[in-house]
Amino acid sequence: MSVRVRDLTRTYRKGKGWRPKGEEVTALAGLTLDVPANEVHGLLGPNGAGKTTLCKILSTVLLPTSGTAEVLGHDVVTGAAEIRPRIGIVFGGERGLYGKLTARQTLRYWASLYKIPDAVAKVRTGELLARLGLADKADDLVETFSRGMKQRVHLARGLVGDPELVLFDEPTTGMDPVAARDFRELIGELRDEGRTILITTHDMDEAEAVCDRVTLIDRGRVLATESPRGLAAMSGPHRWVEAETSLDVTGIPGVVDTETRNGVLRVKTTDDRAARAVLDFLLDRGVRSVHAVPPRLEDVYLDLIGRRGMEV
Amino acid sequence: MRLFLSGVRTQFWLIRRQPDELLTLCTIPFTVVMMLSIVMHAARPDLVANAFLAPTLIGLWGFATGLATTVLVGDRWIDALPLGMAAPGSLHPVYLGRISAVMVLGVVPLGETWLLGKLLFGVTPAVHHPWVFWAAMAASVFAMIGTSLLLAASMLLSKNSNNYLNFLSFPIYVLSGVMVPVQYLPEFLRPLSDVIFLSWSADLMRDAMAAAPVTAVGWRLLAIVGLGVAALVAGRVLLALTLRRARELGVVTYA
Ligand SMILES: Nc1ncnc2c1ncn2[C@@H]1O[C@H](COP(=O)(O)OP(=O)(O)O)[C@@H](O)[C@H]1O
Ligand SMILES: [Mg+2]
Repeated sequence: MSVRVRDLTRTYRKGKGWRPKGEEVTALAGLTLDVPANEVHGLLGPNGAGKTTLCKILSTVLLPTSGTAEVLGHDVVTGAAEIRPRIGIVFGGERGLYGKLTARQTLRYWASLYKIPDAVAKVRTGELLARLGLADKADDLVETFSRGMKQRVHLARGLVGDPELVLFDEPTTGMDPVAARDFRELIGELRDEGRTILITTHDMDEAEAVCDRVTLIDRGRVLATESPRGLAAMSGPHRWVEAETSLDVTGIPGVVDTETRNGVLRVKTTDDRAARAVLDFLLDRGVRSVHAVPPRLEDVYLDLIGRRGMEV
Repeated sequence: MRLFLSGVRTQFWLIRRQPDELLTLCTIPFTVVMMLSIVMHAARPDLVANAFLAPTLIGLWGFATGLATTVLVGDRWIDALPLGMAAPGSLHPVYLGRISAVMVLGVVPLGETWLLGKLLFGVTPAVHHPWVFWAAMAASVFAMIGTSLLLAASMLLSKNSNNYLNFLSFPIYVLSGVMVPVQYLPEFLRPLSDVIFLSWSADLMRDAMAAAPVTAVGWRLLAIVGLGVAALVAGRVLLALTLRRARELGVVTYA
């Protein structure tokens, strides 16, 4: 087991001073989670669910309030020194980089903090830069990089210690679609190399595309851990219909929700019969390309959590 | 040691790309002109040494507060601190290396002051005891490194610590006797001066420039180094406490 978390809680205290005494905020409320070795595991949940808190605890920069968390067989409190060299962290966005260092210097700096001998660091830095498509920009200052390139520097930085477990906290926030696709490929490669990956995200499509299993968390608790497909099956009897149309179907009995994206109408219905009725209604009016479709992870997510906290 | 050297190297990389950080060097001519014009017009050749020391030591302090003590808050600002905390290497040698790299440059104001004195006023002070002078300078750079670590760690405690630091500079200049020798200050301020290593530096360097034999060189050097070590240890402890607290609370500042 790469990650083993039992009844983990974490609270923060508001207020100032060396020991703040203010109001208590619960970020994790008894979370239990197992991530076997070599799995790509997604953590899905709205803003404030506790995803970042969990990542920080697993990366040993934050202590749990109660419960236990083990990473690669070591406790995050007592075994932090054993864990640190073996994990990599990539926290989303562009922050955390020195604008006045080049990409190569950035990696050399972090390689030294991961105690990698200079000769090895030199080679590995070159390999990582090439792998992330930064080879021809290796000696440019990071501050001249686009957002996507900075994110790639972050990815390279997270891999510089050749980690067995990589923690990604919202790695694709603000990535353009091409970069996001490259990122998915990278995740696949990292898994093929035998690494374990824990990835938090808002993006259901991404989770569905890259994760072996996902855990849905809300208010610091696990709602479900499943394969994306298995999770999708949890949305009960609901059925979905998609069609290229602008017709209004909200009057049909059994229609729960409708949504139009890129000209495609997506209708959520209570059950098989209601879905049938919507299909018939649309076909009768000459609408082509009408399909009954399986639920997406997003549908399940919305069923279980609602629309709260979806904004990035 | 490897982490220390990596810190030194990284800071040199950073400074090379950030020449505006060397702005301290541009303020030195003003201090030189101010001090030397006063001394020359007052026709007090006995105070020339003083006029040379002030910009030198103020420059050293300026490098410390302008650049060295901000390495930690700078990293907090760009969110690199938690990444560092997650890394296996310990952080204090890295930051100590980065601070040391800056303070090695703190010797530059010395050369600059001498050069400006010669070019603008046509004077160079005699240094009658060069070995003592250089030993005092080296000890001062070391003490400044230790003090910078302490200041850098303290700066993590507040969100707008830059204000405090700017406020601190002027009293330090006065108390350390880099402007006016400490013996001219009001009596009750002297004990305060004694715990500021710069006051020992200024005294010893002044004596090293004078013709009279310098007394108690060893003890006075030891005082400078000792105060530097004390600050270094205190800085290290404070940094460790602050990082441990950050791990417990999830925040680095406390005010
Ligand atoms: N340093 C902190 N101090 C106080 N509250 C915090 C702190 N960090 C996070 N929280 C609170 O803990 C909860 C979980 O936050 P977080 O772990 O960042 O969630 P997520 O990453 O899923 O958005 C939120 O309610 C957040 O406001
Ligand atoms: Mg988060």
